[in-house]
Amino acid sequence: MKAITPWILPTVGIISIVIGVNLTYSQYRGTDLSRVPSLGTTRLEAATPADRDTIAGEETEAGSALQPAEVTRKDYAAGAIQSPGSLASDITGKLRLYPTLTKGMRTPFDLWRYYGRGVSSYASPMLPMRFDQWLDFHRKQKPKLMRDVDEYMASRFDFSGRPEPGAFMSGGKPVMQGPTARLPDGVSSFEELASLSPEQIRQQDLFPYKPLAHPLQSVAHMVFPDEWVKVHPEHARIDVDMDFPTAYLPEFPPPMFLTTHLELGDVTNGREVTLDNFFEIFDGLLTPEQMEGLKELLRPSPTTWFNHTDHRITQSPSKGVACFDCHVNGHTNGAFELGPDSRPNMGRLRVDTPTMRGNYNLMQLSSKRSIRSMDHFAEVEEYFDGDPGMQQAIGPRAVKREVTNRMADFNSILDYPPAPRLNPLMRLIPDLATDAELRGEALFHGKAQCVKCHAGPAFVDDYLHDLRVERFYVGRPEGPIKTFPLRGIRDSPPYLHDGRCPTLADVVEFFNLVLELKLTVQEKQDLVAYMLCL
Amino acid sequence: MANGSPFCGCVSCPANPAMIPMSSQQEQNGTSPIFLRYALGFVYFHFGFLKFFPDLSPAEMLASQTVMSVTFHWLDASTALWWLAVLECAIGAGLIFNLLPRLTFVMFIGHMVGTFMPLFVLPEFTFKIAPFAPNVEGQYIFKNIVFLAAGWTVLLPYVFPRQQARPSLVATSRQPLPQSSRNR
Repeated sequence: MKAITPWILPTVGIISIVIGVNLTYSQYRGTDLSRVPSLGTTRLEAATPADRDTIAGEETEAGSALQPAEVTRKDYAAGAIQSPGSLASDITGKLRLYPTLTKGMRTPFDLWRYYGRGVSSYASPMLPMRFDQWLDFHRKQKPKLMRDVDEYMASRFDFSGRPEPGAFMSGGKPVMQGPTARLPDGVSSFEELASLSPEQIRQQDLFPYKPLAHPLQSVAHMVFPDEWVKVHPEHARIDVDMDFPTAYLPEFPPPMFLTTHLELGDVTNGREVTLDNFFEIFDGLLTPEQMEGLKELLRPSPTTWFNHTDHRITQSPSKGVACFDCHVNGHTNGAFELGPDSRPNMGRLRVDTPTMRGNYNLMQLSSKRSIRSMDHFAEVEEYFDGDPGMQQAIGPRAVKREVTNRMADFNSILDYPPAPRLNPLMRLIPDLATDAELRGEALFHGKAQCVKCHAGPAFVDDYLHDLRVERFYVGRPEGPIKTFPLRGIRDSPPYLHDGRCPTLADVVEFFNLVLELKLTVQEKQDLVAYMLCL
Repeated sequence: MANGSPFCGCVSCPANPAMIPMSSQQEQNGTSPIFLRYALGFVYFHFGFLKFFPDLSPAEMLASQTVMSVTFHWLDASTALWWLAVLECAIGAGLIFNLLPRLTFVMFIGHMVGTFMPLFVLPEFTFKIAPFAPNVEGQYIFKNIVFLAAGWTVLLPYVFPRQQARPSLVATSRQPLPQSSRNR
């Protein structure tokens, strides 16, 4: 007894801590202080058989009459558990909570494995340290980060490929061969991989086209290609650089084609349109409204991280970013950002800059926001990551409606590059096409099922589709994403919203897996040959 | 084995005084203050146990980022935090129950070195202006000097009993030293 006595107090203390912390955690999670979200599953777990006949609102009847009852769906819990819509219970147990971070800290490259809620929807224009410390911090962190980024990208893609023979973008840059995605160990070919079921691929972690995250998602924002930064050193970031090699990005500067002046071909004659030269290039070709719109598209505005304040990622204060800094010449230079459509920032999807060519044909714009007009598109505050509060602190960029209308006026005349092998109904002209291209077209409209989403003059159905790619890997569902037009697609690598398919051959492999098409090697090559004609 | 002691002199000897839990009599002698040992142990265990629960420990960001930095991002944040939680709980339990004091001492010293690492690997997040103006997190780390002194005081008699025998190092000891120490 004497020997046991000294153990009693410590044991009681330990047990108290264990029980106390457990009870506290159950109170804490799901509150607005916590980053652990209340999931559908949590709500379902709370339901017991006894609850089924009770609506939560009735439970509060005895409470204050002034207090509105919060009605939950506890009464449907039993049905919801069996419903295929109860996705949360299936995956959340396998995901990790977003790590606790502050601005500037490194983020996991496999952010698709994570979930959670942010501390707040609202960002702050303050750095977590003094600006000179901020510079020092990134000076130390960036070299190691970029080594790791390069290593990670090399582990996912083989970027040592060659140009596709005879295939060029509309300005003459060679199109790269693919597929570049590396096959997992133990799988010898994409055909072998495609013979497995989604469940097998998921269980064995074999899917080669998992999402790509921003390499520094705690800051995120626009990352410009090396070619662009050489010409525009004011956009060199102190914290991170582009993770794609130049050969796998769109040409710079790209040609610009106008629906109103097809006879001129590339109206820029190989130049990058800037605030300095736009008048010289376009005076006498555009209407005054289009000129004003173009000028606005070229005028830099402060953004969340490119601005004159200390809340920036450039060594010196920055004038900001213009629309045409990413959408150079109305196309894209391959710069990427995060979609401004969600929070927390760690949950936002990486998005490549889409081309503005042919926007006049689109009924919906942006990857997830379903923007329905080009006027609205020009108004959207991507510059401040969808946070008007940041605009107030860092701005100004409160563009008036009549100005955004004129930006849309110019946007509306940006055309696709010429596609001489297509007839007016967007079918191949047999005399001009090769056998492979014709076979590819037949596949496009047949076995490969591409035409189900990529139809019409722009090869797009203007819908958002949920491919449910998370069937193939353990990850957070990305949800519906806008179909991308395939007209002029050879000019816009890398592909998919986040660039996870660096070449058209990767796109074909991706859809062969995701749609379980079972295409042969020859069929896949034919599809690539066809898409190069569009 | 001299003077009839069962301690043969080797480190692994079961009679090695460094491996024998201290008795309450010894603690009363002043060689290991029991309340300091409990206080240190409970704080270690409590703060370590918090780290098993995502988003509950206020030290989560700094701790996980430090472990990730020193492991060259080999560990991800949640794994880093889990191992840290295990380490802190083990040190806490070792102190509270007076178990394996030499091992506890080694873990404690290793952990203490780790707690000071943010001052070197993440100075931007621990100082307003280095080295004399820490921010809140920096102060949180600097106060570990007190922990270090406390842990040293509590555990040293087990690890270096010979040094503890020197009267100058055990200023509060008024009773004869433990038999095992005198024998050596």
